[in-house]
Amino acid sequence: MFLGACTQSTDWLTQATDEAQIKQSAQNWFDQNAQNQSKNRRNALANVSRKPDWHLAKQYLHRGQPLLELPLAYEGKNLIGVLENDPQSRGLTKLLLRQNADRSFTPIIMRIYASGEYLKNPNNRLSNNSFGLKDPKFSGEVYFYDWNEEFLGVNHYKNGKIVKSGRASQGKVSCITTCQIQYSPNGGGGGADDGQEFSGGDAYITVCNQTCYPSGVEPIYNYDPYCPYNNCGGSSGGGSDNGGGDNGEGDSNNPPVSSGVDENTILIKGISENGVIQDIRAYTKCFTHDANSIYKITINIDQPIAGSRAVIADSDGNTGSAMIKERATVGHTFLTFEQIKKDGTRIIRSMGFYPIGSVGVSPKNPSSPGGLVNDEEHKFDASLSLNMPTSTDFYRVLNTFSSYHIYNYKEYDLYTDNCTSACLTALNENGIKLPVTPGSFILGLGSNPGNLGEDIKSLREIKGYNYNTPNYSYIFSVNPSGGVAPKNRGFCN
Amino acid sequence: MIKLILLLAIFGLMMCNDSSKSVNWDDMTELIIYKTQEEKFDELSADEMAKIEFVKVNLAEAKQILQKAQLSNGKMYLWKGQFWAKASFANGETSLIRISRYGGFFYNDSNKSTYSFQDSAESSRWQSMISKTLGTGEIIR
Repeated sequence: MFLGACTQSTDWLTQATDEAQIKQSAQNWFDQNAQNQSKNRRNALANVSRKPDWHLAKQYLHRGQPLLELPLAYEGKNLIGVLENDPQSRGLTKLLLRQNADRSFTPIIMRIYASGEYLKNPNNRLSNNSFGLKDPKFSGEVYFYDWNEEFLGVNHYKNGKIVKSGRASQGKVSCITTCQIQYSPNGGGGGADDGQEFSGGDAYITVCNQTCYPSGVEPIYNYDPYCPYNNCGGSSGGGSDNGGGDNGEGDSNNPPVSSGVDENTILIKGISENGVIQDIRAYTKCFTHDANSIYKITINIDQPIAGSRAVIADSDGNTGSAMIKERATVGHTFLTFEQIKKDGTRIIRSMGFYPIGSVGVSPKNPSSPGGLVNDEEHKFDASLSLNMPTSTDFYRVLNTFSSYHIYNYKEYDLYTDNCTSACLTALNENGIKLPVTPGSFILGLGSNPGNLGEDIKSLREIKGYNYNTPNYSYIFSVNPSGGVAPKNRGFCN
Repeated sequence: MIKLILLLAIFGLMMCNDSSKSVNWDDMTELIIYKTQEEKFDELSADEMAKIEFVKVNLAEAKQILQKAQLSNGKMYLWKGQFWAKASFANGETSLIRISRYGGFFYNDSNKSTYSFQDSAESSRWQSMISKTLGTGEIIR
């Protein structure tokens, strides 16, 4: 019953009357107001001028108010899917303008990203997807941003229905670097400034872009950018409140139950019930050597205090004598391995080296049997993503890190062989040299998340070697503000 | 004599303090784990918390395992990430609980105490229950 309520309702939007008049009002308002509001942008899109295509504007009524939807082009930077008429586009970017009661308009940027699975179908109707109407087969995500490119919320779709939603939570601003694959026939068409082509002249381009949003996305029931708190009245036509909030089909006192579990997570093999990776081969077997894939390794750092070199702190950020010892954290460092195949499918595995004894370690008892643990969806405060030049280079790091698995009986030691040193060893032994500031856990010395998180922020180049090249400069990106590691994805028999 | 009375009083206070930290897990009516990585989850309002997705832990299993949890008595464990949970009790009280991502220990915000499972089999059962619930539990929001 509640799942049914997730379906995008068509009577939520109806055709607006007086179209020409409203469009003219919107354009006048936009020219006088919105263009000037965009100076506070602080992310990667800060210097990119944006131009709505008024000729392709469509109009609806949204909750009783006129709403215009029009393609938004980013000039000077060929972002993914900004061109609505590009049939090979990975997604679409649109500007939404809803008229308020005082005749002003509220601009919202909407980005529709289709999943690789959806794009596999050559007859997909990506360009038919709009704010209110989704292709019944559409799978992917729809992100909403304000006119300053600040993240507002997201809806995840599967077969045209919303399956999960989130909105920006109150908090610090975080940034993540996202890379998308764009299909580009005959090697052209994409032309992304900061993209890189696959070897062998393949017609796929990966485009990386840094997106900033507040840390933590608060899950909600269907995100509507014009009703972010799900507390608006229903549409004027008596249509259902798609937001599913207080006034809609959903009832905040009886929260809806989602289908929940991501099937990929269940099917990923090799993890025991307590999260310890018992069979490292099974856990990583879905990765393959493939000249047409992109390989990435990300070192994720969960610092005791975000943005600080503190080596130990309590969860309130207190250090020294003010620290509540029972809640003292040393943070955590872990790796995410990712293979992006030519068809857009992704294999993702995150794991970290942990003490796996019956209880925890402490400065007085720093050692414990160690092992690798599944670290999907573990939060981090900073990360460094490395583009691995070949699958061989990727596998070398993967194999070295895999040697920390439980049945290799490596001892975890807070001072000498901890989660951070395990990650650094896996990278260093394979030609990726990261500068490391050792710290002190009260008594001893050791690499640690607090310092590493700050060290990577000042990196300008990573020199080392790889399988083919004795002197190699790695292509990398730093996310200085954190986020949450992705869920593990991709399974195989 | 005065010293003896003082000692007894201190001993009594200590006992009182310790007993306040014991939790009757048998009275627990629900244990849920939130699907969030929000560090300041404890600072959210009740309304905000109510909007966060969660999974329910098997109550019978949780009660059985938690009976074996012991107060850490000042022993320090270093945290490396946590899950947020909430225990509800028959008397209507609730406790926010921070569950360590590794090792068998957790922290009860209500009585500001750390509990652990010293026995490796119990620790493993506890961790398995948490991991299994997070991996396969029905997500409610």
